[in-house]
Amino acid sequence: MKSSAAALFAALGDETRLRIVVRLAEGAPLSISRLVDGTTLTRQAITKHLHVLEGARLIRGARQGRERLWELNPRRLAEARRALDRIANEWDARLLRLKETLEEKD
Amino acid sequence: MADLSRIERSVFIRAPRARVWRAITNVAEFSAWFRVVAEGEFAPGARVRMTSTHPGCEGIVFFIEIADVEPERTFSWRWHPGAQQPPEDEPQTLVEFHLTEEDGGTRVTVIESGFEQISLARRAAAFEDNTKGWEFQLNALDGYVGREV
Repeated sequence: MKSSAAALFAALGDETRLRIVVRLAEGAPLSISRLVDGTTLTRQAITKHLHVLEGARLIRGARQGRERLWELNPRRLAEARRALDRIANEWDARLLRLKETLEEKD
Repeated sequence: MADLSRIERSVFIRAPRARVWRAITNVAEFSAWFRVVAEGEFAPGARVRMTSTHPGCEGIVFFIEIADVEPERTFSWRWHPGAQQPPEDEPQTLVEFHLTEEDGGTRVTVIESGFEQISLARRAAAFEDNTKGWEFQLNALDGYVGREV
């Protein structure tokens, strides 16, 4: 669980990979060629990033004819968001305690 | 898509900015609402030892490193999120408090950034253990005060 969460957030901690995830989040599975379009990166560079994302199970590849298409694994992305939500909730609770302390005494 | 590398939360408090500043940067006052016993001084560069008094986490020790102290405006520190002793070289997240005056009070905004670093894994794991406790506590709070964002 621990190392899996580590891989998840390390995978998302890169701007190129985050951009790939955002593009795949738009819906349709995309080929490497489509993902290279509109970037200044080489096919090899994109491939490397795709493998990191695949390793973190954020995306998965499926062969379609001669091409490999990449799609998002939405469950995994939701896990990442939940972990962050929990930390945000902790801050909400602390800020509420601060608010209550100050508004009740002064 | 939501930004997964940082958290931003804010709350409006009906109290003057100077009063809010004191509650955040006076070690004794901070200790009460943050639910810790803090030993040391909140001065730039200081490493402050904290012992949790939070129900369920009592006795857990952690450290924060004070970054900036800009009176009545900004207070920030770096820490290793989570309860266990982290590896020496693990990256830290940055916690910033920003205070701004608003009609009838003060807005406090907290930003915690750096979650793309590996340390979140530990924190996520730590929270797995505590999920039930937190959910219970938050539900209680939600019923008591509407969440202000």
